[in-house]
Amino acid sequence: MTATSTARPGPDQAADGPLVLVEHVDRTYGSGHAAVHALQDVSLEVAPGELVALVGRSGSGKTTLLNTIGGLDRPDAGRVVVAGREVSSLDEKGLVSLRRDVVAFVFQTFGLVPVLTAAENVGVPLRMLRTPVAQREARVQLLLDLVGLGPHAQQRPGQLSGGQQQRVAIARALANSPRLLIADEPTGQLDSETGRAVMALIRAVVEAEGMTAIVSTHDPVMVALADRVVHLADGRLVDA
Amino acid sequence: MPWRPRVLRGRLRDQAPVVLVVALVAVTATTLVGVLAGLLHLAQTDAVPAALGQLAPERVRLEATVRVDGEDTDTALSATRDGLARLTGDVPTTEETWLTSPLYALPAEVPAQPHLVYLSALPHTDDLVELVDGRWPQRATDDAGRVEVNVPALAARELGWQVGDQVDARPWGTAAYGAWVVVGTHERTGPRSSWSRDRLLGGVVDRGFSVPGTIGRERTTLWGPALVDADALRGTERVHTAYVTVLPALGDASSEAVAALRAQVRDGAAILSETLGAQFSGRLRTDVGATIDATWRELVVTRAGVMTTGILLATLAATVMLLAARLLAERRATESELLAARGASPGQLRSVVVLEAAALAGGTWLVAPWLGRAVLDAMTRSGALADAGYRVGAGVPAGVLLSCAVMAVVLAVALCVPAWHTAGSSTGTSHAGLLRAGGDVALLALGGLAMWRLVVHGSPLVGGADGPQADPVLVAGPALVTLAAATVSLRLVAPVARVADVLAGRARSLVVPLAAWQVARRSSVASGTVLVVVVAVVAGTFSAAFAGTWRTSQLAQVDLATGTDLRLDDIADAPLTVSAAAAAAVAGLPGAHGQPVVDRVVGIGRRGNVGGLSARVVAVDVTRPQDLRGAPDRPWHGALAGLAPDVPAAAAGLPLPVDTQWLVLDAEVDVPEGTEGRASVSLTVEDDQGVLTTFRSGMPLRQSLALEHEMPAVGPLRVVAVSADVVVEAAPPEIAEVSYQRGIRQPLPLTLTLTDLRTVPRSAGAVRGADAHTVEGTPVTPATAGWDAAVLQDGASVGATAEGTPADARGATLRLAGEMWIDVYRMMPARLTARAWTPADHVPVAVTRSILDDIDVYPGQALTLAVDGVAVDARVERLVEHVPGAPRGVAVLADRTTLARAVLDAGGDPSLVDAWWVAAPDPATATVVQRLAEAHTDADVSTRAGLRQAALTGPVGVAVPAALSLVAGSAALLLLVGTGAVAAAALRARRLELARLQALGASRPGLVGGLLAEGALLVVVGAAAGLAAGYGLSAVVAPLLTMSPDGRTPVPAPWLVWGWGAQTLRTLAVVLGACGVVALVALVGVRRTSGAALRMGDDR
Repeated sequence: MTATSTARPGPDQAADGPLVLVEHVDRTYGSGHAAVHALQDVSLEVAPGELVALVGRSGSGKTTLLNTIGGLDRPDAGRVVVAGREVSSLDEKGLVSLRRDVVAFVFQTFGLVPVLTAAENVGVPLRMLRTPVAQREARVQLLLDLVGLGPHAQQRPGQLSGGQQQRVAIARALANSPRLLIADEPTGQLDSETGRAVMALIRAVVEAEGMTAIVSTHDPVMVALADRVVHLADGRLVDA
Repeated sequence: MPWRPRVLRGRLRDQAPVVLVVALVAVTATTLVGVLAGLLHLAQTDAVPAALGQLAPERVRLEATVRVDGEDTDTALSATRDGLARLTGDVPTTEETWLTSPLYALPAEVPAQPHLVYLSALPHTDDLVELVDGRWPQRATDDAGRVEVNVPALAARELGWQVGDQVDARPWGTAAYGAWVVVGTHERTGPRSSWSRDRLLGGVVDRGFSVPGTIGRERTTLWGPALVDADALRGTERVHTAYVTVLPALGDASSEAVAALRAQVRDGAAILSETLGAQFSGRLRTDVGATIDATWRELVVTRAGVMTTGILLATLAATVMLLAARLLAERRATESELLAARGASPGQLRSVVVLEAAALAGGTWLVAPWLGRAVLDAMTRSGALADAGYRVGAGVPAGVLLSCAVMAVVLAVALCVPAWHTAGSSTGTSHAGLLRAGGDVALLALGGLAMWRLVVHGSPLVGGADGPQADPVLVAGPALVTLAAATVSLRLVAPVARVADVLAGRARSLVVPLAAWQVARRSSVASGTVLVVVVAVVAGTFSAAFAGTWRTSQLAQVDLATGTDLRLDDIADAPLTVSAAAAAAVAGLPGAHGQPVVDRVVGIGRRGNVGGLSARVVAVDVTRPQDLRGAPDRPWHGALAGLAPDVPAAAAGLPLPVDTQWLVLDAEVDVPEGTEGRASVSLTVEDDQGVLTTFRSGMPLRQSLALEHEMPAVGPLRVVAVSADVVVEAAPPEIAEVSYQRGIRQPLPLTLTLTDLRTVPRSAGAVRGADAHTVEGTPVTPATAGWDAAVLQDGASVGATAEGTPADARGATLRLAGEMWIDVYRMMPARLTARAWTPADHVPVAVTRSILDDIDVYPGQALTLAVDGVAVDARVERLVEHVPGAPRGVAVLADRTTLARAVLDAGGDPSLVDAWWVAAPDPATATVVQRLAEAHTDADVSTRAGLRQAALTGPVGVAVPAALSLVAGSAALLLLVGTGAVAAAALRARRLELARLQALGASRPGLVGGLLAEGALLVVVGAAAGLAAGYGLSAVVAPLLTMSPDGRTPVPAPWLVWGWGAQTLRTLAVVLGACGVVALVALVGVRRTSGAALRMGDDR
């Protein structure tokens, strides 16, 4: 199996150590003949401020790797360190803290709570931190303006287009000023034009907020915007 | 394998938990409905036979009384038995025959007045007769051809018969004597009531028996019965009357046989007459028809109660099953989309849904009936149902199978309907919305209609050709109202949710606000939870309230109908005898007090006009309202106030020594010479309980007659009244002439003189009255101070004098003097009387308001009561709703003493004791019952506690409280199951959302808390609405559904028994339980919410 990678130096890579460190991670679902080796001996480092595009065919293990980095899944072997916290050994409380303070997710299907308005969805992470109402509302408005959805603050997901929903999801992901943004095929359900806009937005906020991002994608635009591209095939990192 | 079964098998393998949950919900709900159906079945099949089997023999027996009159005995008996067999049909019976001979005359010094004897062949049971000496007759005659007889011991003593003696007797009207041989003597042991077929009612002797053919002009002594073997009365000229009694074993008979008997009994008299033919005459006496009808009516009442609660339970069960079906539908939605994407047509998808629904419904139907049977079996192993005779037989009754089948069909439909829309219908949402809107309106309309009909009709029973029947619409009313209330309650969620929404927006946290948003903005989930909670809480609270109302009403009906704690009715003993027994029974028991009571139906009308209206008179001691029962909230004090007339206290009377056996005197009614007529002299004695008994003696005018009255061996007695009733047939010429010529009435002096008034003690051994005159007795002290004397004639009272003369050597003298009026155109009897009390002008009475349906009579107006053949003036003091002991119809409440004295003054018999009422606390009641039994008191004894127990635990009626308890418990269970199903379905639908929230940093406890808060909010809203709706439904419906055992409106009217504290606690308990279930489901569900859930397409 051939590993290929295209790297571009990140802004803070030299100044700090890696924000994300993945070492020899294995993850297998099922057992026996039905076992699926989602990840096999995957090692990866992501520097602060870096935007990494994670590419691979469907079933190659992208989502598993992202979930493992974000603490939503535990590796069977190896370790994952994010912002100095060893994710793979964190307890439930530590994981919650990690997700609230360090990591933010953007999902392919947007992951908005259907019964909440755009503003309320963006405010969800702030509520988890019990941010004062005035501060929360100001922050939500700022983020919605940032993603260009200020006028749509009171609309529910069902009243927004796919691109708008994903922008709301991005605004929500930025609400707590995370250090790491994990996006799992954020343009997967968008048309190419909207996808490009979303990708540009991610690129922009990564740069503006100085955060690190790992984005799984098939989108060549996103690949082009990434600082580095990592390829996964059959659960193996073929080029890092 | 075809693809459809393969899909189903795959689902079962991969989705076993959810399928299992749905199956469990369906089986639970269906089983509970099956249990109720089984209970109804048992009430119908077991309860009626058990109830009929427990009835007292006198209520079901058929007694044919046949006048044989000398014809052939066997022919008469055969015809009678044929007739009874036609009536009883296939019902097994036992027979008892009682034969009574014509009269036989014993040898006598005065041929015209011989002592008479009759023979009887009757069962020699221990509860009827007891052998005193010798043996029972074993054959018709002995070897010498003499009839073997066993004679009453009293007759043997007085007539000097010994065992082995020969007694000669001849049939009355013939001269040829036959020979009897005395083989033994006996005494009566059973109560007098069991001797109703005896000529002397078990009295052994009648010393004033009218000699046949003399129309009472000549009297003799009749003895009997002399017991003989039945063969002695076979043949002709042997039997006067035959009593053939059959006791049907209704409890062992099939329902068809009982129904046939009931039908035959309607024409019982005609059937018996037909079989007896022209040769014999006879009559049939039985209450079996009315008794069966009463039991059937009670069954109808029970059926209505069980059906009402059953429909309510079925509604709740169906609601829960709908929610479970939604859980499955949620699970199936993704699969259906996938199959549709792979090319499955809507028809194919629906066929899978139908197949799965059929499999689940079929499985439910196969399991639930047997589970229901097992539950019912457990319920009937002990407790009230077991005591009532309920037994679960082999197999499952058809009714249970049918009801479970109906529920299974409901399940199948519930499974298909939601899946139908997800399986291809594009108009599902709008269609469902329309259905909901239409359903709301329809339910409200139906519920309102059912309520209106129920309120107007006042009962869920309607009249039918075969008696009352349960109206399906009326019994379904509560369920319809519950559903309507639930749908209306859903409207309450919106405003509550709006408030919660606003509050959530202003909050800092996420958990509770997110719950509020879910409630406010996911109406379908909120509707499901609220619907099941409202229906369950309404069902539970209504069942509890209905059970309480039913129970309280049954007890209140018993209390009012009984009137006291313990009653003696159908008293066969003499008033003074039962009075002494009753007094002894309560002696020394703290808080126990007995009183004689008048309880009889009398004629009633406006003053002097007693027409066709009758009323039940209950006369009690009005100074003791605390002894009366049946008015827990409205004590009887108010009803009784003023019913004792405002007259001076009675004088002491003339006391008799305690051991007095005979009261002996010479009496003479003196009128001017030339007066012709007759008189009756009476002495009235009273015991310490106020029971009066009058001894009368007829006598000619102006002739002294020696009288003796035997006093019963009871406590202290005193003479309280002396009277002479005088009928003048011809006045002295000088008076008659003046009256005739002037046309005006003339006074006639009247004197009653009692001389040698004395008592003879029992110790003197004077067996006969004649002996008493020869014994020196104790003079009665004639202290008449305070006595009131008068001549009563034609409704008027004229003063008279009563004077006692101190005793001389033989006894005291009492002299009454007055004047009666002679009007030759209208001769009226007169009563010269003196009594130890001041008579009242009228008897104050309280009358039930229902009298206004017949007579316009109001307080202050006069009434006339026809009591014991005499007219008594009464005045209405007040109108009352009820009278203790007389719950239905027109009833009159009066003071017993006042009424008895008024009856005495009116010339009637003042010994008005129809019943004895004893007020006693519970432990004392048992002692009183025991003492009365030991005293062999000949009366029906019933206790309020026993009747209360019977009212609640009777075989037929016990099904209603059992059903209500079942529904109350089931409501809680189904609420938990339903809430769990809704929570599981909601969790399933939001699984990905919850996983994403976790990914965003929401903690598991926070999410569980949010789900719990969401569930709790809905449960609390639903429970509050359900509690309110339950109260409303109970307040309106529970009293209407409550009936008397015979299907009539209860008296007193039932009132709602609703304990806010208990109901709130009960509701709170199920709220907490439901919240616990939600928390459990959330804990399990959220645990599974992990990164795996975020993997698209992973539906494990």
